[in-house]
Amino acid sequence: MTLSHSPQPILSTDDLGIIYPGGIEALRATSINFQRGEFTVLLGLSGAGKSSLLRSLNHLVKPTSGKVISAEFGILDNQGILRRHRRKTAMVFQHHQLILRHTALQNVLMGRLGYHSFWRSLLPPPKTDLELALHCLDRVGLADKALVRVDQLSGGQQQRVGIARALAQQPSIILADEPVASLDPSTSEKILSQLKQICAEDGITSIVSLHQLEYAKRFADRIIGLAQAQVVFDAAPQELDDKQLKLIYQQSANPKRKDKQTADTQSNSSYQHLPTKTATQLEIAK
Amino acid sequence: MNTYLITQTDVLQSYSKNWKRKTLQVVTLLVIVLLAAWYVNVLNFEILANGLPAIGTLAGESFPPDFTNLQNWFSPLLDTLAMSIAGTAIAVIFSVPMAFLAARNTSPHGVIFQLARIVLNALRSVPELIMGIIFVAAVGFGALPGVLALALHSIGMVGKFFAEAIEHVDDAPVEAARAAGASPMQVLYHAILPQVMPQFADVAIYRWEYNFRASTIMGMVGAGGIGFELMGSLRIMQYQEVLAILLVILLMVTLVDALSGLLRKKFK
Repeated sequence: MTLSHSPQPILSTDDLGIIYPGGIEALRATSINFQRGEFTVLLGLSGAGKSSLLRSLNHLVKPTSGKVISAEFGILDNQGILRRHRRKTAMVFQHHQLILRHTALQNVLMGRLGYHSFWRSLLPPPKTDLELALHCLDRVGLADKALVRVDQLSGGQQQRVGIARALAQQPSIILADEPVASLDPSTSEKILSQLKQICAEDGITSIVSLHQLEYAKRFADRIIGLAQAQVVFDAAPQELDDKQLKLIYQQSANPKRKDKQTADTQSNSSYQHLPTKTATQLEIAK
Repeated sequence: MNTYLITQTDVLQSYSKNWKRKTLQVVTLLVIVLLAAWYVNVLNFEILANGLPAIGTLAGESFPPDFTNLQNWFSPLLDTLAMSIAGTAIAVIFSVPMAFLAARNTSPHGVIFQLARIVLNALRSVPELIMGIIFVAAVGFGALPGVLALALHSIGMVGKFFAEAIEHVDDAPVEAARAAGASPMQVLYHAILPQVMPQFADVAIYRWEYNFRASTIMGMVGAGGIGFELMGSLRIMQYQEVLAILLVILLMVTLVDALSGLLRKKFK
């Protein structure tokens, strides 16, 4: 599936496949080129393979076949290259993945770890790092919270600290794994537009996984639809029509429903699930 | 499609099954406790009744406590305090690297993990008093063998608790640090250590409190401290002095406990 006509993609995958231990296929041989400066949304239901694809792009999930190729560093096939690639490829997580007892500033400084040796990182960070970290917090509008422990911040603020941490890496790529899945709609919109704006300003390529169609249509330059471990759509958002939506959403909707039913029947004997079960029953009775 | 209909009878049946199981558990526990008590003669009231007058006589001879030698106890008490602090500090220093080797999620290899666990278990299973006797034989009388014994025995427990804290660490920030290009050592230091710091402090302070109590008896085997005085008075059957020393120890233990509680609250 090659769409691009531009000279060299900043990041690409070649027949990338992921099979988890236990034989679950999370991604079927997938080749994609990601273009410099593009805001790509990976769209699909949970379990469709978005997360696996995204996390294999910096080898947080090790692919079982195929390869990931970075324009800057080449094929990710050794620790040295991987570390350099990760340094320039920041990640934003669904559950922000911050150290809750640390201040916002300390968390943002974690983004600088890849730039220092272990021994250097035992000493206080250089002044330039501190200034950069503060600047990143300022860009997400949290300069005044720099010295507040992140467990005192709201969900949206925590996610903005996560984005600031990513920016502190001075990345050329940002991978965002369901960055707004645990936030309310109005916060989600703010976070996504902030992310998009910052990436546009700095020319950062971003690859964002989402399950909400509405956000994908609004923010994406390009949508890659995934269903059942493979790419079923790859084009600009305006080309996404009902037929293609069905491919993305309905295909895996049926087996999902079936799974749920069998699971419920199995746990039938235990009375603790009573309330949930009544709800399911009603839903199916309708 | 009504296979998952749950009836009232089902719920009631399940409830009564649950209740029966709980009763059985309590009865089993009770039987085990009674058997153990019978085995160690706690249920033999004849022996107990015979021992009672002797305990009464001893208690009578201990009154009133004799504090005439009080000024001679300050220095041994200070020894005891210093021993407990030094012993705990040494234990903590060696426990941190041991814990990383003995935690499933940070150990470099399965074999190293098992070895580290075995070492910790071994250290824990030799009582500090036995270690005290060995170190007295090795380095002579005084506070030093006491410190070494306390330290070595403590590593077994402190290392194990540290390792457990490391195993329960939140994986999310660890993943985030890896994703930012941190090296494995940086991940340990910057993503794991900050998360376990409160537990580490808690265990270390609790262990200090325990070591203070343990070091009061270290003197009994010649490893310095207030226990040495206690043993001396016991040998010459000066029970009034024994009681006085025990009261002084009680006061110190209470003070140390209070201080430890205060410190632990601070580190939460």
